[in-house]
Amino acid sequence: MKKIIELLKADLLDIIRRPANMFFAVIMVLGVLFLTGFVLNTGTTADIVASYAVFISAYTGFIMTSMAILKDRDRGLYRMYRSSKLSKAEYVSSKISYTALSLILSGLIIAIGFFTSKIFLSWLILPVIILTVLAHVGMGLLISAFVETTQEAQRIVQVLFFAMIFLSPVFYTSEGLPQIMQMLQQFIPLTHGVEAMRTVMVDGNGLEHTWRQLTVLIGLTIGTMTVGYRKLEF
Amino acid sequence: MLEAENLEKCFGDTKAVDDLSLEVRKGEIVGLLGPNGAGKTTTMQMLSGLMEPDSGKVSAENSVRRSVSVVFQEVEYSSKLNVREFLRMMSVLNENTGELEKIIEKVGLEKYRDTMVPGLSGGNKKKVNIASGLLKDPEYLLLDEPNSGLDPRARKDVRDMVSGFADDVGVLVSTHSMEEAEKLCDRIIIIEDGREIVSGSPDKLVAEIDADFVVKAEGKIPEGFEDQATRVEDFFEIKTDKPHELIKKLVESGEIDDLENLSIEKPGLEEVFFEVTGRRYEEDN
Repeated sequence: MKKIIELLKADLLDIIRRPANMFFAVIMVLGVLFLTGFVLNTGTTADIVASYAVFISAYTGFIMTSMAILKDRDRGLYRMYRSSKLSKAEYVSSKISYTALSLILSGLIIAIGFFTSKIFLSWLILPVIILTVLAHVGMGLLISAFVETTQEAQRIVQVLFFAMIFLSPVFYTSEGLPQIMQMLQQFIPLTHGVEAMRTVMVDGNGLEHTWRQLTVLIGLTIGTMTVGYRKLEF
Repeated sequence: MLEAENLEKCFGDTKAVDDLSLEVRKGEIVGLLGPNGAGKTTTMQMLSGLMEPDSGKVSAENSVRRSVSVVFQEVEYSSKLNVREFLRMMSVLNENTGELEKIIEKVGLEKYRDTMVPGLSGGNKKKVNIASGLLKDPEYLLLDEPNSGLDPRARKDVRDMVSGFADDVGVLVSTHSMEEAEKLCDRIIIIEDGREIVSGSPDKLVAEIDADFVVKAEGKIPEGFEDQATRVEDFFEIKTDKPHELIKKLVESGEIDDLENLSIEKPGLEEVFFEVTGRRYEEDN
Protein backbone atom coordinates (compact mmCIF):
# COMPACT_ATOMS: atom_id res chain seq x y z
CA MET A 1 0.00 0.00 0.00
CA LYS A 2 2.87 2.35 0.89
CA LYS A 3 4.39 1.79 -2.55
CA ILE A 4 1.10 2.49 -4.33
CA ILE A 5 0.64 5.73 -2.38
CA GLU A 6 4.23 6.77 -3.15
CA LEU A 7 3.74 6.16 -6.88
CA LEU A 8 0.49 8.13 -6.82
CA LYS A 9 2.16 10.95 -4.91
CA ALA A 10 4.98 11.14 -7.45
CA ASP A 11 2.55 11.11 -10.37
CA LEU A 12 0.35 13.74 -8.73
CA LEU A 13 3.33 16.05 -8.15
CA ASP A 14 4.31 15.57 -11.79
CA ILE A 15 0.77 16.45 -12.95
CA ILE A 16 0.43 19.49 -10.65
CA ARG A 17 3.74 20.85 -11.89
CA ARG A 18 2.50 20.76 -15.48
CA PRO A 19 -0.59 23.01 -15.26
CA ALA A 20 -0.71 23.63 -19.03
CA ASN A 21 -1.06 19.91 -19.78
CA MET A 22 -3.81 19.57 -17.18
CA PHE A 23 -5.67 22.59 -18.58
CA PHE A 24 -5.62 21.24 -22.14
CA ALA A 25 -6.71 17.79 -20.98
CA VAL A 26 -9.76 19.25 -19.19
CA ILE A 27 -10.59 21.44 -22.24
CA MET A 28 -10.32 18.38 -24.50
CA VAL A 29 -12.65 16.26 -22.33
CA LEU A 30 -15.18 19.09 -22.06
CA GLY A 31 -14.94 19.66 -25.83
CA VAL A 32 -15.60 15.98 -26.60
CA LEU A 33 -18.50 15.94 -24.13
CA PHE A 34 -20.02 19.13 -25.57
CA LEU A 35 -19.68 18.06 -29.19
CA THR A 36 -20.99 14.54 -28.72
CA GLY A 37 -23.52 15.42 -26.02
CA PHE A 38 -25.23 18.44 -27.54
CA VAL A 39 -24.45 18.25 -31.24
CA LEU A 40 -24.50 14.52 -32.05
CA ASN A 41 -26.72 13.09 -29.32
CA THR A 42 -30.36 12.58 -30.20
CA GLY A 43 -31.78 11.27 -26.92
CA THR A 44 -33.51 13.03 -24.03
CA THR A 45 -31.51 14.86 -21.38
CA ALA A 46 -31.95 11.90 -19.02
CA ASP A 47 -30.60 9.58 -21.75
CA ILE A 48 -27.61 11.86 -22.27
CA VAL A 49 -26.88 12.00 -18.53
CA ALA A 50 -27.12 8.22 -18.14
CA SER A 51 -24.94 7.42 -21.15
CA TYR A 52 -22.40 10.10 -20.31
CA ALA A 53 -22.01 9.07 -16.69
CA VAL A 54 -20.84 5.71 -18.06
CA PHE A 55 -19.04 7.01 -21.11
CA ILE A 56 -16.78 9.35 -19.11
CA SER A 57 -15.81 6.49 -16.77
CA ALA A 58 -15.00 4.20 -19.67
CA TYR A 59 -13.04 6.94 -21.43
CA THR A 60 -10.91 7.87 -18.41
CA GLY A 61 -10.38 4.22 -17.42
CA PHE A 62 -9.20 3.30 -20.89
CA ILE A 63 -7.13 6.38 -21.70
CA MET A 64 -5.58 6.95 -18.29
CA THR A 65 -4.48 3.37 -17.76
CA SER A 66 -2.90 2.91 -21.16
CA MET A 67 -1.29 6.37 -21.28
CA ALA A 68 0.04 6.23 -17.72
CA ILE A 69 1.84 2.94 -18.39
CA LEU A 70 3.13 3.98 -21.80
CA LYS A 71 4.41 7.31 -20.48
CA ASP A 72 6.38 5.43 -17.84
CA ARG A 73 7.77 3.27 -20.64
CA ASP A 74 8.65 6.26 -22.84
CA ARG A 75 10.49 7.88 -19.94
CA GLY A 76 12.45 4.75 -19.09
CA LEU A 77 10.80 4.66 -15.66
CA TYR A 78 8.95 1.44 -16.39
CA ARG A 79 12.24 -0.48 -16.53
CA MET A 80 13.35 1.17 -13.29
CA TYR A 81 10.11 0.17 -11.60
CA ARG A 82 10.49 -3.37 -12.93
CA SER A 83 14.03 -3.51 -11.63
CA SER A 84 12.92 -2.33 -8.17
CA LYS A 85 11.11 -4.42 -5.55
CA LEU A 86 7.75 -3.17 -6.81
CA SER A 87 5.45 -6.03 -7.77
CA LYS A 88 3.28 -6.12 -10.87
CA ALA A 89 0.13 -6.11 -8.72
CA GLU A 90 1.30 -2.99 -6.88
CA TYR A 91 2.21 -1.21 -10.11
CA VAL A 92 -1.09 -2.04 -11.83
CA SER A 93 -3.03 -1.08 -8.66
CA SER A 94 -1.39 2.34 -8.67
CA LYS A 95 -2.44 2.86 -12.27
CA ILE A 96 -5.97 1.66 -11.57
CA SER A 97 -6.19 4.11 -8.67
CA TYR A 98 -6.16 6.96 -11.20
CA THR A 99 -9.53 5.87 -12.35
CA ALA A 100 -10.99 7.11 -9.06
CA LEU A 101 -11.04 10.37 -11.03
CA SER A 102 -13.59 8.84 -13.36
CA LEU A 103 -15.93 8.25 -10.41
CA ILE A 104 -15.69 11.95 -9.56
CA LEU A 105 -16.43 12.96 -13.17
CA SER A 106 -19.38 10.55 -13.35
CA GLY A 107 -20.63 11.90 -10.02
CA LEU A 108 -20.49 15.44 -11.41
CA ILE A 109 -22.46 14.48 -14.52
CA ILE A 110 -25.08 12.68 -12.42
CA ALA A 111 -25.32 15.70 -10.08
CA ILE A 112 -25.88 18.03 -13.06
CA GLY A 113 -28.43 15.57 -14.49
CA PHE A 114 -30.25 15.41 -11.16
CA PHE A 115 -30.95 19.13 -11.26
CA THR A 116 -31.61 19.45 -15.01
CA SER A 117 -33.64 16.34 -15.82
CA LYS A 118 -35.74 13.61 -14.32
CA ILE A 119 -33.38 10.78 -13.43
CA PHE A 120 -33.68 8.03 -10.83
CA LEU A 121 -30.89 7.57 -8.28
CA SER A 122 -30.12 4.05 -7.11
CA TRP A 123 -27.29 2.12 -5.42
CA LEU A 124 -26.95 0.19 -8.68
CA ILE A 125 -25.32 3.23 -10.32
CA LEU A 126 -22.07 2.57 -8.43
CA PRO A 127 -21.54 -1.08 -9.49
CA VAL A 128 -22.44 -0.20 -13.09
CA ILE A 129 -19.82 2.57 -13.17
CA ILE A 130 -17.15 0.55 -11.34
CA LEU A 131 -17.61 -2.48 -13.59
CA THR A 132 -17.51 -0.33 -16.72
CA VAL A 133 -14.35 1.39 -15.50
CA LEU A 134 -12.62 -1.89 -14.70
CA ALA A 135 -13.58 -3.46 -18.02
CA HIS A 136 -11.96 -0.48 -19.77
CA VAL A 137 -8.95 -0.52 -17.45
CA GLY A 138 -8.41 -4.09 -18.64
CA MET A 139 -8.54 -2.87 -22.23
CA GLY A 140 -6.06 -0.11 -21.33
CA LEU A 141 -3.74 -2.77 -19.89
CA LEU A 142 -4.06 -4.76 -23.10
CA ILE A 143 -3.16 -1.73 -25.22
CA SER A 144 -0.11 -0.98 -23.09
CA ALA A 145 0.94 -4.63 -23.25
CA PHE A 146 1.06 -4.68 -27.03
CA VAL A 147 1.97 -1.11 -27.98
CA GLU A 148 5.49 0.27 -27.54
CA THR A 149 5.14 4.07 -27.48
CA THR A 150 2.67 6.72 -26.33
CA GLN A 151 2.40 8.16 -29.85
CA GLU A 152 1.48 4.80 -31.32
CA ALA A 153 -1.01 4.22 -28.49
CA GLN A 154 -2.67 7.61 -28.96
CA ARG A 155 -3.55 6.74 -32.54
CA ILE A 156 -4.78 3.25 -31.66
CA VAL A 157 -6.74 4.42 -28.61
CA GLN A 158 -8.45 7.19 -30.58
CA VAL A 159 -9.50 4.88 -33.40
CA LEU A 160 -10.60 2.12 -31.01
CA PHE A 161 -12.46 4.41 -28.69
CA PHE A 162 -14.33 6.27 -31.42
CA ALA A 163 -15.25 2.93 -32.99
CA MET A 164 -16.58 1.80 -29.60
CA ILE A 165 -18.52 5.02 -29.07
CA PHE A 166 -20.26 4.75 -32.43
CA LEU A 167 -20.83 1.01 -32.14
CA SER A 168 -22.24 1.17 -28.63
CA PRO A 169 -25.56 2.93 -27.99
CA VAL A 170 -24.09 6.09 -26.43
CA PHE A 171 -25.84 8.42 -28.92
CA TYR A 172 -28.82 6.28 -29.82
CA THR A 173 -30.70 3.17 -28.79
CA SER A 174 -29.90 -0.24 -30.28
CA GLU A 175 -33.40 -1.14 -31.48
CA GLY A 176 -33.23 0.35 -34.98
CA LEU A 177 -29.75 -1.02 -35.77
CA PRO A 178 -29.05 -3.85 -38.24
CA GLN A 179 -28.73 -7.32 -36.71
CA ILE A 180 -24.98 -7.55 -37.33
CA MET A 181 -24.37 -4.25 -35.50
CA GLN A 182 -26.45 -5.42 -32.57
CA MET A 183 -24.36 -8.60 -32.40
CA LEU A 184 -21.11 -6.63 -32.50
CA GLN A 185 -22.37 -4.37 -29.73
CA GLN A 186 -22.57 -7.32 -27.35
CA PHE A 187 -18.75 -7.60 -27.30
CA ILE A 188 -18.28 -3.98 -26.26
CA PRO A 189 -18.37 -3.36 -22.48
CA LEU A 190 -19.56 0.21 -23.04
CA THR A 191 -22.81 -1.13 -24.58
CA HIS A 192 -23.72 -3.02 -21.43
CA GLY A 193 -22.64 -0.15 -19.19
CA VAL A 194 -24.79 2.37 -21.07
CA GLU A 195 -27.81 0.07 -21.27
CA ALA A 196 -27.58 -0.87 -17.59
CA MET A 197 -27.30 2.80 -16.61
CA ARG A 198 -30.31 3.78 -18.73
CA THR A 199 -32.32 0.97 -17.22
CA VAL A 200 -31.48 2.25 -13.74
CA MET A 201 -31.41 6.02 -14.20
CA VAL A 202 -33.94 6.66 -16.98
CA ASP A 203 -36.44 3.83 -16.48
CA GLY A 204 -35.99 3.64 -12.71
CA ASN A 205 -35.69 -0.16 -12.75
CA GLY A 206 -33.88 -2.28 -10.16
CA LEU A 207 -31.68 -5.35 -10.11
CA GLU A 208 -34.40 -7.57 -11.61
CA HIS A 209 -34.05 -5.68 -14.92
CA THR A 210 -30.30 -5.06 -14.86
CA TRP A 211 -28.88 -8.37 -13.64
CA ARG A 212 -28.36 -9.65 -17.18
CA GLN A 213 -26.32 -6.57 -18.23
CA LEU A 214 -24.42 -6.61 -14.93
CA THR A 215 -23.55 -10.27 -15.39
CA VAL A 216 -22.22 -9.63 -18.90
CA LEU A 217 -20.26 -6.64 -17.57
CA ILE A 218 -18.75 -8.77 -14.81
CA GLY A 219 -17.76 -11.38 -17.41
CA LEU A 220 -16.22 -8.79 -19.74
CA THR A 221 -14.44 -7.12 -16.79
CA ILE A 222 -12.93 -10.39 -15.63
CA GLY A 223 -11.99 -11.21 -19.23
CA THR A 224 -10.30 -7.91 -20.13
CA MET A 225 -8.63 -7.52 -16.73
CA THR A 226 -7.29 -11.07 -16.74
CA VAL A 227 -5.96 -10.95 -20.30
CA GLY A 228 -4.64 -7.37 -19.89
CA TYR A 229 -2.91 -8.16 -16.59
CA ARG A 230 -1.38 -11.39 -17.86
CA LYS A 231 -0.18 -9.89 -21.12
CA LEU A 232 1.44 -6.87 -19.47
CA GLU A 233 5.11 -7.76 -19.07
CA PHE A 234 6.47 -6.56 -15.74
CA MET B 1 27.51 -16.02 -7.56
CA LEU B 2 25.40 -14.67 -10.42
CA GLU B 3 25.63 -17.20 -13.18
CA ALA B 4 24.37 -17.27 -16.73
CA GLU B 5 24.47 -20.51 -18.67
CA ASN B 6 24.17 -20.79 -22.44
CA LEU B 7 21.95 -17.75 -22.88
CA GLU B 8 20.30 -17.26 -26.23
CA LYS B 9 17.97 -14.50 -27.35
CA CYS B 10 16.59 -13.74 -30.82
CA PHE B 11 14.66 -10.72 -32.05
CA GLY B 12 13.01 -11.89 -35.24
CA ASP B 13 15.76 -13.29 -37.45
CA THR B 14 18.50 -11.51 -35.52
CA LYS B 15 20.34 -13.47 -32.87
CA ALA B 16 21.17 -10.85 -30.23
CA VAL B 17 22.78 -13.27 -27.75
CA ASP B 18 24.21 -16.60 -28.81
CA ASP B 19 25.17 -19.33 -26.32
CA LEU B 20 26.67 -16.89 -23.82
CA SER B 21 27.80 -18.09 -20.39
CA LEU B 22 29.30 -15.88 -17.72
CA GLU B 23 29.55 -15.45 -13.99
CA VAL B 24 29.94 -12.57 -11.58
CA ARG B 25 31.21 -13.17 -8.06
CA LYS B 26 30.57 -10.89 -5.11
CA GLY B 27 33.40 -8.44 -4.63
CA GLU B 28 34.59 -8.34 -8.24
CA ILE B 29 34.00 -5.92 -11.10
CA VAL B 30 33.50 -7.63 -14.43
CA GLY B 31 33.56 -5.70 -17.67
CA LEU B 32 31.28 -6.72 -20.52
CA LEU B 33 32.86 -5.24 -23.59
CA GLY B 34 31.82 -5.14 -27.17
CA PRO B 35 31.02 -2.81 -30.03
CA ASN B 36 27.55 -1.26 -30.46
CA GLY B 37 24.97 -3.95 -31.14
CA ALA B 38 27.13 -6.70 -29.64
CA GLY B 39 24.29 -7.77 -27.31
CA LYS B 40 25.46 -6.13 -24.10
CA THR B 41 22.14 -4.53 -23.13
CA THR B 42 20.16 -7.66 -23.99
CA THR B 43 22.56 -9.71 -21.85
CA MET B 44 22.12 -7.23 -18.98
CA GLN B 45 18.35 -7.46 -19.24
CA MET B 46 18.42 -11.24 -19.13
CA LEU B 47 20.86 -11.23 -16.20
CA SER B 48 18.56 -8.91 -14.26
CA GLY B 49 15.57 -11.16 -14.82
CA LEU B 50 13.73 -8.46 -16.77
CA MET B 51 13.91 -10.42 -20.02
CA GLU B 52 13.36 -14.12 -20.50
CA PRO B 53 16.07 -15.85 -22.53
CA ASP B 54 14.89 -18.04 -25.42
CA SER B 55 17.10 -20.73 -23.93
CA GLY B 56 19.66 -21.01 -21.15
CA LYS B 57 19.25 -19.87 -17.56
CA VAL B 58 20.31 -17.24 -15.06
CA SER B 59 20.74 -18.15 -11.41
CA ALA B 60 21.94 -16.61 -8.15
CA GLU B 61 21.99 -17.64 -4.48
CA ASN B 62 18.63 -15.88 -4.00
CA SER B 63 15.89 -14.86 -6.42
CA VAL B 64 17.48 -13.09 -9.41
CA ARG B 65 14.79 -10.36 -9.54
CA ARG B 66 15.33 -9.59 -5.83
CA SER B 67 19.13 -9.74 -5.71
CA VAL B 68 20.11 -8.08 -8.99
CA SER B 69 19.76 -4.38 -9.65
CA VAL B 70 20.27 -2.94 -13.09
CA VAL B 71 21.21 0.66 -13.88
CA PHE B 72 20.05 1.46 -17.38
CA GLN B 73 21.86 3.50 -19.96
CA GLU B 74 19.01 5.80 -20.89
CA VAL B 75 16.38 7.19 -18.58
CA GLU B 76 14.65 10.30 -19.84
CA TYR B 77 13.81 11.65 -16.37
CA SER B 78 11.14 14.00 -17.60
CA SER B 79 9.14 13.62 -14.37
CA LYS B 80 8.90 16.94 -12.61
CA LEU B 81 10.39 15.68 -9.37
CA ASN B 82 13.43 16.90 -7.53
CA VAL B 83 16.29 14.56 -6.60
CA ARG B 84 15.03 14.02 -3.06
CA GLU B 85 11.45 13.28 -4.19
CA PHE B 86 12.55 10.93 -6.93
CA LEU B 87 14.99 8.97 -4.79
CA ARG B 88 12.52 8.91 -1.90
CA MET B 89 10.03 7.26 -4.26
CA MET B 90 12.65 4.74 -5.38
CA SER B 91 13.59 4.02 -1.76
CA VAL B 92 9.97 3.27 -0.87
CA LEU B 93 9.61 1.03 -3.94
CA ASN B 94 12.79 -0.79 -2.85
CA GLU B 95 11.73 -1.03 0.81
CA ASN B 96 14.90 0.78 1.84
CA THR B 97 14.00 4.24 3.14
CA GLY B 98 16.56 3.94 5.94
CA GLU B 99 19.52 4.22 3.59
CA LEU B 100 18.23 7.08 1.43
CA GLU B 101 20.43 9.83 2.88
CA LYS B 102 23.49 7.56 3.04
CA ILE B 103 23.14 6.69 -0.63
CA ILE B 104 22.55 10.31 -1.67
CA GLU B 105 25.88 11.12 0.00
CA LYS B 106 27.60 8.01 -1.36
CA VAL B 107 26.87 9.06 -4.96
CA GLY B 108 27.68 12.70 -4.23
CA LEU B 109 24.26 14.24 -4.80
CA GLU B 110 23.90 16.01 -1.45
CA LYS B 111 24.15 19.47 -3.08
CA TYR B 112 21.42 18.64 -5.58
CA ARG B 113 18.68 17.33 -3.29
CA ASP B 114 16.29 20.15 -4.27
CA THR B 115 17.23 20.31 -7.94
CA MET B 116 14.64 19.07 -10.43
CA VAL B 117 15.90 15.82 -11.95
CA PRO B 118 15.34 16.88 -15.60
CA GLY B 119 17.53 19.94 -14.94
CA LEU B 120 20.57 17.95 -13.75
CA SER B 121 23.72 17.55 -15.83
CA GLY B 122 24.29 14.23 -17.64
CA GLY B 123 26.77 13.11 -14.98
CA ASN B 124 24.40 13.84 -12.12
CA LYS B 125 21.52 12.12 -13.90
CA LYS B 126 23.75 9.05 -14.09
CA LYS B 127 24.34 9.37 -10.35
CA VAL B 128 20.57 9.50 -9.75
CA ASN B 129 20.32 6.41 -11.89
CA ILE B 130 23.03 4.61 -9.93
CA ALA B 131 21.54 5.73 -6.60
CA SER B 132 18.19 4.24 -7.70
CA GLY B 133 19.96 0.97 -8.41
CA LEU B 134 21.76 1.00 -5.05
CA LEU B 135 18.55 1.68 -3.15
CA LYS B 136 17.55 -1.89 -3.93
CA ASP B 137 20.48 -2.95 -1.74
CA PRO B 138 21.50 -5.46 -4.41
CA GLU B 139 23.89 -8.38 -4.18
CA TYR B 140 24.76 -7.82 -7.84
CA LEU B 141 24.76 -4.49 -9.62
CA LEU B 142 24.59 -4.33 -13.41
CA LEU B 143 25.65 -1.03 -14.97
CA ASP B 144 24.76 -0.53 -18.60
CA GLU B 145 27.18 1.93 -20.20
CA PRO B 146 27.51 4.05 -17.03
CA ASN B 147 29.96 6.45 -18.65
CA SER B 148 28.38 7.05 -22.03
CA GLY B 149 27.96 10.73 -22.86
CA LEU B 150 29.92 11.96 -19.84
CA ASP B 151 32.86 14.35 -19.75
CA PRO B 152 36.21 13.09 -18.36
CA ARG B 153 35.60 14.58 -14.90
CA ALA B 154 32.15 12.97 -14.57
CA ARG B 155 33.57 9.71 -15.96
CA LYS B 156 36.18 9.67 -13.24
CA ASP B 157 33.55 10.39 -10.56
CA VAL B 158 31.42 7.49 -11.75
CA ARG B 159 34.47 5.23 -12.03
CA ASP B 160 35.59 6.04 -8.48
CA MET B 161 32.07 5.45 -7.23
CA VAL B 162 31.80 2.05 -8.93
CA SER B 163 35.23 0.98 -7.58
CA GLY B 164 33.91 1.67 -4.10
CA PHE B 165 30.87 -0.61 -4.49
CA ALA B 166 32.74 -3.80 -5.20
CA ASP B 167 33.52 -4.55 -1.55
CA ASP B 168 29.93 -5.58 -0.91
CA VAL B 169 28.51 -6.47 -4.29
CA GLY B 170 29.37 -8.10 -7.56
CA VAL B 171 29.43 -5.54 -10.36
CA LEU B 172 29.01 -6.12 -14.08
CA VAL B 173 29.76 -3.07 -16.20
CA SER B 174 28.92 -2.99 -19.87
CA THR B 175 30.90 -0.53 -21.91
CA HIS B 176 32.52 -0.06 -25.26
CA SER B 177 35.30 2.01 -23.72
CA MET B 178 38.41 -0.15 -23.41
CA GLU B 179 40.13 2.53 -21.35
CA GLU B 180 37.36 2.54 -18.75
CA ALA B 181 37.29 -1.24 -18.56
CA GLU B 182 41.04 -1.43 -18.13
CA LYS B 183 40.97 1.03 -15.25
CA LEU B 184 37.94 -0.39 -13.52
CA CYS B 185 37.56 -4.10 -14.05
CA ASP B 186 39.10 -7.18 -12.43
CA ARG B 187 37.95 -9.34 -15.29
CA ILE B 188 36.87 -8.66 -18.86
CA ILE B 189 34.50 -10.50 -21.17
CA ILE B 190 34.59 -9.33 -24.79
CA ILE B 191 31.51 -10.20 -26.81
CA GLU B 192 30.56 -9.66 -30.39
CA ASP B 193 27.39 -10.69 -32.24
CA GLY B 194 26.14 -11.98 -28.88
CA ARG B 195 29.01 -14.44 -28.49
CA GLU B 196 31.96 -14.42 -26.12
CA ILE B 197 35.20 -13.94 -27.99
CA VAL B 198 37.64 -13.86 -25.13
CA SER B 199 37.69 -13.37 -21.35
CA GLY B 200 40.18 -12.95 -18.53
CA SER B 201 41.90 -10.28 -16.44
CA PRO B 202 43.00 -7.19 -18.39
CA ASP B 203 46.67 -8.02 -17.75
CA LYS B 204 46.25 -11.61 -18.86
CA LEU B 205 44.43 -10.60 -22.02
CA VAL B 206 47.07 -8.02 -22.90
CA ALA B 207 49.87 -10.48 -22.18
CA GLU B 208 48.30 -13.12 -24.40
CA ILE B 209 48.04 -11.04 -27.54
CA ASP B 210 50.80 -10.39 -29.97
CA ALA B 211 50.59 -6.60 -29.82
CA ASP B 212 53.54 -4.25 -30.07
CA PHE B 213 54.60 -1.33 -27.90
CA VAL B 214 54.27 2.06 -29.57
CA VAL B 215 57.23 4.42 -29.35
CA LYS B 216 56.00 7.93 -30.06
CA ALA B 217 57.98 11.17 -30.38
CA GLU B 218 57.91 14.61 -31.96
CA GLY B 219 60.61 15.38 -34.53
CA LYS B 220 62.40 13.82 -37.50
CA ILE B 221 62.05 10.07 -38.04
CA PRO B 222 65.41 8.50 -37.03
CA GLU B 223 67.56 7.03 -39.78
CA GLY B 224 66.96 3.35 -40.41
CA PHE B 225 63.39 3.46 -39.04
CA GLU B 226 61.70 5.10 -42.03
CA ASP B 227 59.97 1.86 -43.09
CA GLN B 228 58.62 1.08 -39.63
CA ALA B 229 57.42 4.59 -38.75
CA THR B 230 54.06 6.20 -39.40
CA ARG B 231 53.65 9.96 -39.11
CA VAL B 232 50.70 11.54 -37.33
CA GLU B 233 51.00 15.35 -37.71
CA ASP B 234 54.25 16.39 -35.92
CA PHE B 235 54.63 13.01 -34.26
CA PHE B 236 55.87 9.72 -35.57
CA GLU B 237 55.01 6.27 -34.21
CA ILE B 238 57.11 3.13 -34.37
CA LYS B 239 55.56 -0.20 -33.39
CA THR B 240 57.95 -2.70 -31.87
CA ASP B 241 57.93 -5.65 -29.50
CA LYS B 242 61.37 -4.60 -28.15
CA PRO B 243 61.14 -0.90 -27.26
CA HIS B 244 64.27 -1.00 -25.10
CA GLU B 245 66.37 -1.97 -28.13
CA LEU B 246 64.92 0.88 -30.18
CA ILE B 247 65.66 3.40 -27.42
CA LYS B 248 69.20 2.01 -27.08
CA LYS B 249 69.77 2.57 -30.81
CA LEU B 250 68.45 6.11 -30.60
CA VAL B 251 70.74 6.87 -27.67
CA GLU B 252 73.79 5.36 -29.37
CA SER B 253 73.19 7.24 -32.62
CA GLY B 254 72.62 10.49 -30.73
CA GLU B 255 69.31 11.04 -32.53
CA ILE B 256 67.44 10.99 -29.26
CA ASP B 257 68.68 14.54 -28.61
CA ASP B 258 66.62 15.84 -31.55
CA LEU B 259 63.39 14.27 -30.34
CA GLU B 260 60.80 15.80 -28.04
CA ASN B 261 57.90 14.32 -26.04
CA LEU B 262 59.25 10.78 -26.37
CA SER B 263 56.88 8.21 -24.92
CA ILE B 264 56.41 4.44 -24.92
CA GLU B 265 52.83 3.22 -24.89
CA LYS B 266 52.09 -0.25 -23.60
CA PRO B 267 49.59 -2.33 -25.57
CA GLY B 268 46.19 -2.20 -23.86
CA LEU B 269 42.75 -3.67 -24.08
CA GLU B 270 42.06 -1.71 -27.24
CA GLU B 271 44.78 -3.68 -28.96
CA VAL B 272 43.31 -6.87 -27.46
CA PHE B 273 39.90 -5.93 -28.82
CA PHE B 274 41.14 -5.21 -32.32
CA GLU B 275 43.33 -8.26 -32.26
CA VAL B 276 40.53 -10.66 -31.29
CA THR B 277 37.77 -9.10 -33.35
CA GLY B 278 40.12 -8.76 -36.31
CA ARG B 279 41.07 -12.41 -35.99
CA ARG B 280 37.38 -13.33 -35.98
CA TYR B 281 36.70 -11.28 -39.08
CA GLU B 282 39.58 -13.04 -40.79
CA GLU B 283 38.23 -16.44 -39.72
CA ASP B 284 34.67 -15.56 -40.80
CA ASN B 285 35.72 -14.25 -44.20
